[in-house]
Amino acid sequence: MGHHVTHLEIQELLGAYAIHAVDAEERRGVETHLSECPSCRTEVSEHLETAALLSAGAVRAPAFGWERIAAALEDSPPQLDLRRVTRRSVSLKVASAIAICAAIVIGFLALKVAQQDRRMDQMSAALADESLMRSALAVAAHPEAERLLLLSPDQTRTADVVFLPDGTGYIVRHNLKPLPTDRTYQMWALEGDRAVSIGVIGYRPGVVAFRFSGEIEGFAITNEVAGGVNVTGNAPVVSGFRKS
Amino acid sequence: MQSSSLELASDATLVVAIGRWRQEALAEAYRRHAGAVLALARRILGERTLAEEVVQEVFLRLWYQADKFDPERGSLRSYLLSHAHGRSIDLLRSEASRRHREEREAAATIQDTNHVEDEVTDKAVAAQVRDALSVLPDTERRAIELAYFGGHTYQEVAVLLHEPEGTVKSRIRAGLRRLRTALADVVAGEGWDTT
Repeated sequence: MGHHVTHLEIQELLGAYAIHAVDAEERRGVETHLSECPSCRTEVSEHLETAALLSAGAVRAPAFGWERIAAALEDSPPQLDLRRVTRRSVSLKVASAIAICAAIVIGFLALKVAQQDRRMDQMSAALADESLMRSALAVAAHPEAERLLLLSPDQTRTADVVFLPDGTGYIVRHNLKPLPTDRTYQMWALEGDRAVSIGVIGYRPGVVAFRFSGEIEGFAITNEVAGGVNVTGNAPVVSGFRKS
Repeated sequence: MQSSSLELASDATLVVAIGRWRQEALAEAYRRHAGAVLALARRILGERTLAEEVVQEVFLRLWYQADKFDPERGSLRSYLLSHAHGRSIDLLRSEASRRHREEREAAATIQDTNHVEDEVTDKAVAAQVRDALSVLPDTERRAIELAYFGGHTYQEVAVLLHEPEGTVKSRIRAGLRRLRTALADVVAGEGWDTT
């Protein structure tokens, strides 16, 4: 959809869009339009409901299907041991950080200010977020995946982490407050009294991919100056430990 | 909210509970809707294993992105089925799925008695779908079948049906509108099983 797409052209696509019968470029074009057109959103909702009726008739979903989903979740968050993550104990050496952890973190940054770029940035971010979410769900559904719920001391802030034994991990869901643009969240791998930086995840993170190596006992996320730090003196915003 | 009251809760209430980490709320949503999700994924993918993976992904997505569901934009059932449909179409179009299909077709002569029940259920579901689509003119029905169940883009449907792309777009849109009117009457009048 390289040219400017009219409302009429989008309307003609709404039926095909609702049943996933458009290509990726057209899908992006429709979704950009939908963000600004209530009448088209209403029509798409109606088509989705109709498509659901086409799907009427069900087979019994197997019980083991639910068991696999439940296995990917945790029954309760791990107990938070505040003594293990304190201002004194959260320290690291740069050399150790490089030796122990690979810092591969993808976060999502703020949208551009220019009005004509803002929509495309939103779409790009949404598409990238969707792509990461799919990867994260694949990890979450892996039989060897672990889930860890990171909590703030007052348990109002959370971050849901899934990871594999090979060190692949994702922050799949969180309610971390957006920070000022001169700040960033930074993620740490916890080993005993040491915290090793995994990397910065941005001031308004979405779904985040990360990687770590070695045996870790938990994760923590701190609030740091933009760019991150080698050594933090800040208490974690959220943290959590694997069950021993 | 007690677990027993979850069975009486609306879908919107369930999703709020899911957003608050209530695993039993997700279990209730699964109980209500997983069957429909599985049936749709099976219909599109033509096999159970991949379809079960789609079910798993759809409900894990609901767990991790409960805030994405807006009850004012539609029902939870249509929301879940839309995700299941999109994911199933992606799998259908993927190279891996194509190879798997080729292998499966090559082995089609082998009798598999373990899936007799699936075949019976598939036929029942197919009959319901046929009944639903029978309200449409052939031109609209074929276009929607190829797109929705066959996983084809409207451009591919145009090629398959030897029709202009614009015509196919219009038929899909008009067909969905006609179905909405026709099936809404069925749902209201005859208690169509959507649960």
